[in-house]
Amino acid sequence: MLLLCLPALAHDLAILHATVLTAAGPPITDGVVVVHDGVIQGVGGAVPTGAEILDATGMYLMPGIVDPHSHMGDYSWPDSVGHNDGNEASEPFTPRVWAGDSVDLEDPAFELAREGGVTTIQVLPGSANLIGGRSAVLKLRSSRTLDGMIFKAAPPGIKMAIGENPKRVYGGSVALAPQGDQIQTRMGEFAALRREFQSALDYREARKRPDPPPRDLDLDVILDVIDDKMLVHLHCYETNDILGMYRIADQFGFHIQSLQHGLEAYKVRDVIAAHGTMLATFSDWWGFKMEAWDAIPENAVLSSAAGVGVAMHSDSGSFVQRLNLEAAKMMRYGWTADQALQSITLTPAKMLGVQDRVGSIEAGKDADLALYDADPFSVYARVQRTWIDGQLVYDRSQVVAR
Amino acid sequence: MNRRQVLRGAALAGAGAIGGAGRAWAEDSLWGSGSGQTWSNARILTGLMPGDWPVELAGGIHVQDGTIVAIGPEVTGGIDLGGATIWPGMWETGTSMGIAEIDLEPATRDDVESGDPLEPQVRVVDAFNPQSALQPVLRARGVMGALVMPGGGVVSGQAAWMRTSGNTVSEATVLAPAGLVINLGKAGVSAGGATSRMGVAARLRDVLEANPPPQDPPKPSMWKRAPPPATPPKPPTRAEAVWHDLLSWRLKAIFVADRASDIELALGLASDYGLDAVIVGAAEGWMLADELSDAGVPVVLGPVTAQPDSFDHLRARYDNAALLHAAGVRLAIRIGDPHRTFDLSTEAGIAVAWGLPYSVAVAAITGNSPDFFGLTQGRLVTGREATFVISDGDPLEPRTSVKHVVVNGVEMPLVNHQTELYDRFRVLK
Repeated sequence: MLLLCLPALAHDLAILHATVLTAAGPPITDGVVVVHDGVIQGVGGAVPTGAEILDATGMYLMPGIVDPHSHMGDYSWPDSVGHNDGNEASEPFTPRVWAGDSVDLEDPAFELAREGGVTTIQVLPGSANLIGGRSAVLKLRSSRTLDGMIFKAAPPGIKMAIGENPKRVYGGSVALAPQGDQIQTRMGEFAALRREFQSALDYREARKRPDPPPRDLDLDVILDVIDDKMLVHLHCYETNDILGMYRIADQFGFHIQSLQHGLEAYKVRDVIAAHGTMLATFSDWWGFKMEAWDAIPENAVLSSAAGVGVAMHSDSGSFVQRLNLEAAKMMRYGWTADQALQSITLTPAKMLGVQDRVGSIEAGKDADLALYDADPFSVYARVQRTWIDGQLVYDRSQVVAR
Repeated sequence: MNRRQVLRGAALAGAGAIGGAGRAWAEDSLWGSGSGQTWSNARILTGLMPGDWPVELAGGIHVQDGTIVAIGPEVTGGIDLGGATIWPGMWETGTSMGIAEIDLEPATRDDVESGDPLEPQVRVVDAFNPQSALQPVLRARGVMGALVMPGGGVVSGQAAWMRTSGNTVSEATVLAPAGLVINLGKAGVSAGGATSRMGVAARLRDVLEANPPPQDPPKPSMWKRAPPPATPPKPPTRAEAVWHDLLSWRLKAIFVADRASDIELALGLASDYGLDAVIVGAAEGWMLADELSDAGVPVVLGPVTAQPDSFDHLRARYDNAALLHAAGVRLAIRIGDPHRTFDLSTEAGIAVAWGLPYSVAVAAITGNSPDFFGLTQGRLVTGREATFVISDGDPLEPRTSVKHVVVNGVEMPLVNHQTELYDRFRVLK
C-alpha cells in the first residue's frame, strides 16, 4: 500500500482522474482534488511535490455523506436490552438530556456506515418525548473517546416530537406505557408544549427576582430554544402536527430548523418554505402507521420545488449505508443528479449548521470524501475509500471479509 | 400534460372501464382478454436461470387470451416500446401483504394468530383482503405477487401465494395452501408458547412424532388371507391432516431461520422427518452454504441488506447471496417489508454489486421462488400466463420507473392511494 510507505509527516494527498461530484457546481471529469493537512486545498490546480498520488481513473469522488437523522450509538448493535439508550421516556420533557451521553463508541454500525461513504451524522434522541433532548453531531472517525468523534464546529441542536409517538408512550390506556396516563391526544401534546414553554418564560422572570428559584436545567435549555440558540429538529408526519407546531413556534418566537420525516410536507410545502424550515425525509417509506399512511414518493421532489431544502435521512443503521440509493430513487420522480447529490451532502450540512465545513468539495472545506467505483447513483456502485479530515477511514482493498 | 399524466393516460386506456377510485377496480374479471396484443422493440428479461433458456432476449412479446404465444426477436409490430425492458415483475416471499395493512393499527392486523404456539390449521386465505390499499401501490411499482405468510409462534399456519391483482380472494389466489410456516430462532419463541430455542425444537419433534401419516393398508397376498377388517380409522382432525400432509410431501415446510444454528436445525428436522423444506431468511446462510447445497434445500434469502443488528444474525453480510449461489444453492431473494416490497429490485441490484451474477439476481426476485413451490409464475415463456412489467430501463436500478403492468394479458391501471394523493396535491390550491 502506497499509504503505508509514506513518511508519517506527509499530509498532502492528490486524487487524480476521478469524476468529481462537488455538490457546489457541475461535475468535473478527470478532476484533481488536492488535500493538505485534512483540508481540501482545491479542485484542479497543480499537484504539490511529495504528495501522495491516488489514481482514481474511472471512479467517482463526492463529498462524504451527511445523515441528519441517526440513532447510531444510542441503539448500539446488536439490538439488546442493555444498549437500548435512545429514548429517555421517563417524562415527556427531557431537554436536559444529551444524545452524546448514550453513544456506544463500539457500535459496529459506525464502521459499516464508513463503508457506505458516510462521514457526518446527527445522533438524535428518540421520538417518545415532546422534547427529547439535545443532539450530538459526530464525525464518523474511529475513536476510543467521544471527544474524538464530536464535530466541534456544529451548533447545538434539539429534538422535538409531535404526533403519534408521544401520546402512544404517555397515554395510559396503552398497555405498553408504564409511564402512566400523562398525554392522551394531540391537543394534549400541544397544551403540554404551551405550558412548558410558558413555564420557561415565567422561570426567566423569576430568576431575575431577589429570591430566584434554583437553576432548572430543562427550562434553561427551553429558553435557549426560545432565544434561537438551538437548532430545532422536529419529528413529525401529518399536516395538522406541522401546522400546530408553527402555531407554538410563532407564539413563543422560535425557529424550526427542520422537519424530520415530515411525510405529509408536500401538502403544506408552501407554509414550510415560508417559515424557512428544511425537511429531512425518507425516500418512499410509507404505511407503517396512520401518520405515515399518506406518504407519497414525490414528497421530497414537490417540497424542494416549492423552495424547501430537502435532505434524505436514514433513521437507520442500515439505510445510512445506502443513502446514495435513497437519493437515486428521487431522480425517478424528477430530481437531477445534482439535486440527489446535494440531498445527502450539502443540504443536510446546512440543516446541521456545518455547511462552511463539510457537504461539498471546495477549497477550505474538511477533506471528508467518498470514492465510488461507479456512478454513486447506480445500485452497482460500491465505495472504495472514505476519508474524514483527510484521514483514510475505509479502504475496500484492505477489507478481506466482514 | 406532464410525464406522469401521459403514463397514467396510457395505463387507463389499456385497462378498460374503471369504476370507483382507489381501492377497488370495477372490471368484471382480470382474466382472459379476448383479442391478441403485441409489444415489441424491447429488451426482455425472461426470469429464467442461466442454462435453462435465454435469460435475455431482444424483440417482443405476443399475447393471446392471457397467454404468451410468442416471445423474442420474431415478434414485431403492435406497441413499439422503444427499447424499454419487459420483465416478469417481482414475486416476493414471506410478507404480510393483504393480511396486515398498517403496522401500528390493530384493526388492520390479521397476520398473527397468537392463541397457540402450534396453529397448523390457520390459513392466510381466510384473512386475505384483496381490496387492501397495499396491493395497488405495490403492483404499480412492479410487484406481481407474493407468498403471504402468517407469523407468530412455532407453527404460524398455512401460507399462500397471492397476486397483487384480483377483486376477490379466489381471483387473487395462485396457490393455497403453499406450505406450513415454521419459525425457528427467536421468531418461534413467544409468551405462553416455547420460551427458548430448545423448546421450539422439542415442540416440533413432539407434534411430528405424534402425528404419523396413516399407512397404506397391507396389500393382499397370495399366501395369506386378508386380515380381518380393523375398526375403521377415525378421520383425522384438521390439524392432524395438516401434519399428515407435511410428513408426506403434500405440504411444504417453510422454515424461517436466520442464525446458522437455526438453519442447521431446519436441515436436521427436514432430514429426520423427511420434509419438503425451504429456508426463508437465511441471513447467516453463507456459513452453511455447502450443507444447504448438499441437502438440495432451496433458500429464499433476505433481505440482502440484513445487518449484524440482532443476535439472530450477527454474521449477516452483503455477499451472502453471491456465496450461496457460488456453492450451488438454489436461491431466491426476498425483502420481507410489506410496504417496501417494491425495493426487492434494489435488493437484487445490491446482491449483484456484491458478486451475484445479474441474470441470477433477476431470476431470484421473479421466477425462482414460485418455481420452488412448483409454480410457473415469474418467468416469461411461451405458453405461460402473460403477466409482466414494462420498465424504462434496468429494473434493478433505483432510477428506473415502471411504465406498464400486464396481468394475464390485461394492462392494469397504475392508479393507487399514492397517485391519487399526488394528483390532489400536485398543484396547491
